[in-house]
Amino acid sequence: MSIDLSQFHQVFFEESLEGLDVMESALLNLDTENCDSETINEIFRAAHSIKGGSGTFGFSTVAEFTHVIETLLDQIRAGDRRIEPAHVELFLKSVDCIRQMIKSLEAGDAVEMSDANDLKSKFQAILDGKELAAAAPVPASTAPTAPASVSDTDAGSSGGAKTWHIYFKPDGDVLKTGNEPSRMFRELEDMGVATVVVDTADLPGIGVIDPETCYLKWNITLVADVEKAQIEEVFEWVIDEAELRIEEVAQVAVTENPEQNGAKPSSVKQSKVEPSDIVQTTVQSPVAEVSVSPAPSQAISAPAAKEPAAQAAPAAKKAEKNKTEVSSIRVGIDKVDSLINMVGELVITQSMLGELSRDFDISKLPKLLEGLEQLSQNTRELQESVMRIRMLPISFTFSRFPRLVHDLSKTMGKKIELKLLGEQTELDKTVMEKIGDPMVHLVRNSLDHGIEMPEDRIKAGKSDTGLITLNAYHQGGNIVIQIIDDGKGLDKEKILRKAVEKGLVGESDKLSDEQICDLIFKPGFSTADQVTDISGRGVGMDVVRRNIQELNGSVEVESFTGKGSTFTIRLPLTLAILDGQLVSAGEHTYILPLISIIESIQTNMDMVHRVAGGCDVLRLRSEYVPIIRLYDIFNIKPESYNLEESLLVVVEGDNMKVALVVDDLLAQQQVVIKSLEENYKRVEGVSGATILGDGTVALILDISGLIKLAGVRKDEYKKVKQGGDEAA
Amino acid sequence: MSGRSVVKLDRNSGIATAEELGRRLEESFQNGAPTSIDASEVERVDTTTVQLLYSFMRSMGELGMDVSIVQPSESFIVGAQRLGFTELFKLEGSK
Repeated sequence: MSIDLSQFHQVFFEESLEGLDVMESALLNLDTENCDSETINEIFRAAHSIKGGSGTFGFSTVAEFTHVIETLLDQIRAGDRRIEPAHVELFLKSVDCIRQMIKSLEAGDAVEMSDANDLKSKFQAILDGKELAAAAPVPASTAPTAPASVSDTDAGSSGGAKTWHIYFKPDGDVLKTGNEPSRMFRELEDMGVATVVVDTADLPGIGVIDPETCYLKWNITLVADVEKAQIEEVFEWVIDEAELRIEEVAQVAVTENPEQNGAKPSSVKQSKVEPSDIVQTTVQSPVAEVSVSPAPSQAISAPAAKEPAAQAAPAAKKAEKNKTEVSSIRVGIDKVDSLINMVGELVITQSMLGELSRDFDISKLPKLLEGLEQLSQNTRELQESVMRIRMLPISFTFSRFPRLVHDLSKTMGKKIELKLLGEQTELDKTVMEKIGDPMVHLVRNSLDHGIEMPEDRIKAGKSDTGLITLNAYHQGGNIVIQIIDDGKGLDKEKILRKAVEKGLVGESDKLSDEQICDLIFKPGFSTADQVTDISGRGVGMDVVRRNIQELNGSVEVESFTGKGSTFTIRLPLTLAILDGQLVSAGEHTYILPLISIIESIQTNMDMVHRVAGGCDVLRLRSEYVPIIRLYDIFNIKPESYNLEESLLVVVEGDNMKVALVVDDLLAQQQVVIKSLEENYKRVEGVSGATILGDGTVALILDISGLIKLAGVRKDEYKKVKQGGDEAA
Repeated sequence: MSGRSVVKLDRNSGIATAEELGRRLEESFQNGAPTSIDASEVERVDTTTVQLLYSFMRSMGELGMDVSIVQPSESFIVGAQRLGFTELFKLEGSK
C-alpha cells in the first residue's frame, strides 16, 4: 500500500505554526535572570517537534535550521550554557524565520533562506563560543558578506541531497516490450537511497491474471544529489508507456537564488525546480511533463497534446495554490461527540415518525405533533452543534499581540504591559480571521499614540509602565472586543482643530466629546505630529471602521484626557444564521434580530411625547426612547397609522434604544442570512435577506442603519434620555 | 484436499517462464492446498514473477490457504525488495 505523505502536509504546517506560537509565548514569558527549566523544556520540545516533522516530510531547509536552534536550546536545557537576553531575541527572530519558511512551503513557494542563513551563522557563532558580542550589534541588513562562505557551505549541504517523489505507473504492456521496472529501480538505487512502495490495488486474482501484463504502480522516494532530468533519463524508454510524475519534495531556496550563489550559476540553475516543472509533474499526462524538461541527450518529440497541458500550467499552479490556502480547524472531541449525539437523536425521531406514518389515523395526531416538535428541537440542536464547530476561542487572535507589544515597545522605548482578558470567548472562525488586522491596527495605535514615554508617565503621576488590556466577552448575540490603554487619551482640542482645518466640521459646529472622538475614523484624518513606522500615516482608522462594518459590526472610541482610551468593537458571533423575530408592516414581513429586541409593547398616547425637531419619543419607565415608524422608512402603507393600534418593538442598536412601530409580531425563527450585496446591492437599514418557509423573501433589518436612516442622532438621544422630564 | 504443494521457482524467473509459472500456480490454487514457494535457486526474478506470486498469495489468502516462500535466495530477496515486495512477501529477516 502506498502512502501519500503530502496528505499530511497541512497537518504538519498547522502543528508547526502552533508549535511556533508556543515557542514565542514561552520566550516572551522567559525571565533570563531567573530561568525556569520547564519553560526552556517547552521551547525545546516545540523546536524538536518542528525539526522532526520537517525531516519526516522532507522539508530539509526547516529541519536544518531548526536543528541549530535545537542544539543551542539543548545546551541551555542541560545547564551547559546560560541563556542571555540576546539569545531570547535571536530565538524570537528564529521563530519568525521558521514561521515564514512554513508559510512559504504551505503556499508552495520557494523558501527564502537569507534570513535563515544569517541567523544560523549567529547561532553557530554562539555554539562555537564566539558569543553574540561580535555578531549581535551588527544589524542584519548591514551584516558583512563574510557569512557568504557559510551560505555557500549551506548551499553545498542543503543543496546536496534532494528528496524526490516519483510516481510510476507503467502501461500494462510495458513488460512485453522488455522494459523491466526493477532495472529502472536499480538505476535509482545507484543514484542514492530509494524507498520503493508498490501499489497492488489493480492486481487481479490468480485465475484471471495475464502473467505478462503489468498491473502494478509504484511510489518511490529517492534521496539523492541528482536533478530531475537525470531521473527522467532512467525512465526515458517508458515515458510514452507510463504515467510518470517526478516532484522534488522540498525545494531548496539556497540553490535557487543565483545572486547568493554566484559561484556556480549554471549548475544551480540546472538544479532549480521551476514552478512550471512542479505543475507539470502534477499534470496527469506523463507526455506533457517530458515536454517541459527534455532529457539533454534525447530529443523527445512532443505530441500536440503537450501544448494545452503546458498552457494549463499557470492555472493549475493557481489552483494548487488555492488548494493550499484551504485552511482547516481543530475541533474539540466534545463538540464532535455532541454532534454525533444530536444525529443519533435525529435518527431516532425520524424512525419514530416513519413508524407513525405507516398506519396513520387521526387518533395518532397528538403523537405526530409531538414527533414533529421533537424533530424541530433535534434540528435546532444539531444546527447549534454544527455552528459551535466553527467557533474558536479568541485567544487565536489575541495570541499574536504579546509579541507585537514586546517588539513595538522595544522599538519605541516604552514600557508596556499587556493584559489579556476573556481569551476563551468564542466566535466564528470567519469573523475571527477578519478581525485580526483591524485589531492589530488599533493596538499599534494605542501603543504609539496612547501610551506615553516612561518619563512622561512619571511626570503625570502614573507608573512608568503603561497598560494595554485586550478584553473580549459575549453580549447577547454579539462579541465585544475592547482595546483599553491607560495612556494620555485623545487630544480632543487638537482633533477638533484638525477637523476644522480639513473642513470636516464647521468652526461654529458644536460637537459632543463622543462626536469629536469619532472624527478619528474619518478618512485621511490624523493628528500625529510625526509620521512613524508604527502608525500615524493618516490612513487606517477609517479602514478599520470599514472592515468592521463589513462584518456587520461597529467600532467606537471613548477617551478621557490623561486617563486613556477604550476602543470597543462589536461583532456578530456568526455571519451565517440569525435568530429572528418576524414582524409585519403593511403587506410586508421583516425580520428583526431577536438579540436586539428588548421588549415589545402596546402603547397608549400618554406614553408618547413629541420633542423639539418633530421626533416622537416613548416614555418607557424612567427613560425616553425615540420612535421610528417602519412604514415611514420604507415608504409603505401600514395597516394603521394610529400608534395605539400598532405595536412598538423596543430594540437596541449602535448603543442606543429606539422603538420601532410595526403592525404585528409574527413568529420567531432562525433564518439563514443571504447577502443583499452579493445578490443585489447594499441597502441602508437592511443587513440582508432570507427566504421564509412559504418561499417569500423577507428583509433582515439593520437596527443601526435604521437609526441612521431615521435621523436619530446619538447626542439627541442622550439629550432626550437625560432631559426626559423637560420633554414630558 | 491434498497435502502441502510445492512450487519451485526457476533459476531465471523472468517473463519467459511467467506463463508456465502462472499455469502451475493456478493449478495449485485449484487444488486448494497450502503451498510452499521454493525460491532457493532463484538467480534472477522480475516483475512478472513477483506479481504472479503475490496474486497467487492473495487469492489463496482469501480462501484461508497458507502460502509461504521458503529458503528465498539472496537474488530473490533483493529482486522482491527492489520492487517493493519485502513486506508483502514477509521477507524481513529472511536473509
